[in-house]
Amino acid sequence: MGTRLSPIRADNGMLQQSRKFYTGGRGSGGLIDPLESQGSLTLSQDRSFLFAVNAGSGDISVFRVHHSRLVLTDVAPCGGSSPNAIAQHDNLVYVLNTGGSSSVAGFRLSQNGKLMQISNSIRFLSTNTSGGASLAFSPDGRFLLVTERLTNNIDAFTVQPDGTLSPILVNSDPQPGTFAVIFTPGGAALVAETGPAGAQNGSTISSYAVLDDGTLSSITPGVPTLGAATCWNAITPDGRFVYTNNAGSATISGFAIDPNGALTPLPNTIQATNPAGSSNLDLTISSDGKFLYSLNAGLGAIGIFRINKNGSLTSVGSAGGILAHHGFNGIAAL
Amino acid sequence: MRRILTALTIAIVFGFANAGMAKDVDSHDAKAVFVMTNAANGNEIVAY
Repeated sequence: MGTRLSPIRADNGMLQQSRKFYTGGRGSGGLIDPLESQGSLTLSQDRSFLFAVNAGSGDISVFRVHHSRLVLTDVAPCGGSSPNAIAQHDNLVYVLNTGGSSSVAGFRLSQNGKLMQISNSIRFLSTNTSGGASLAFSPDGRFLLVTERLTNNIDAFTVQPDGTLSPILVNSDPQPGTFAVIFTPGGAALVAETGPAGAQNGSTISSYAVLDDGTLSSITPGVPTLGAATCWNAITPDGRFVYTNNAGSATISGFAIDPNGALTPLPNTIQATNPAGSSNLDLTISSDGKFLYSLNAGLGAIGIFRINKNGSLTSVGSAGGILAHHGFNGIAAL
Repeated sequence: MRRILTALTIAIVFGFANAGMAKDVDSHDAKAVFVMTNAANGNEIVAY
């Protein structure tokens, strides 16, 4: 049962009310981007379930989604510690655990929203302090990719029929600053990279094909985002465009994706600018592909942008109702 | 006749109940945005 809050500001008329729903667990707390991940709040493919990590209490929550109302269906131990991201494919759910020995753990999701951990599903990343930042299933469910911030690796696992994973295959990302991976509908992996330490607006995005054994083959390497601290990315449902949130420069970059996964910057690359000090972290796109939402944790706001037919973005306002510098992470949209 | 009416009434009541449930479960096209507080003293999801 949610706690109803007072109406929030809604510049564009879309985000008018807010409610809060307790996850049944504890977060990590913090100020700006404490989880350092993408996918801490994840909708299921059919958008009927919402998954949330509880990094402080070491568990994950599952909600049944009823429009903007959530019903908690389960709180389950994460199979490790300090979970910071979740990925789902059909009834298979994997959690990225960053605490202790970095690992992933697998679960089966029942129709009523209960999680059951899969026996022998835990796989360790390339090293204990790898800084796991995201994980994503390929569209056909054959592969699970995991990014490691601190080692600059992209781990590939083959999904077995019983839901367990193959031994790890470690791919070294040739671009510095590996952060978040997502898949295009055609099966190309897109990786947001923060760039070399100390570089000004030196972040990039790359695309890769996943070969049969999990090896990554470069399609388009290191396209500049012309932004700083590019950590998060989101793809339109039709797979035509991908956007990156550049937290260090408060900008959003846009790229066209061709059917083979090749990336081309949209004109001028930067498609939108958030207010200074936004610390724009996670971003998400509505299921109809019409709007992009940016979690601006530094200002305690959600930036709202209309996605135009040519991929350009138009700011249509912002919504408040969240606290600035209070550790917010994760955003998802129906 | 009375049994038939009773059966019809039950069917209608269950039909309405199931229709309501189906609508609730299947209507995911309505727009909503969710953000996580990640609060250490009790994690919450803010729904818009």
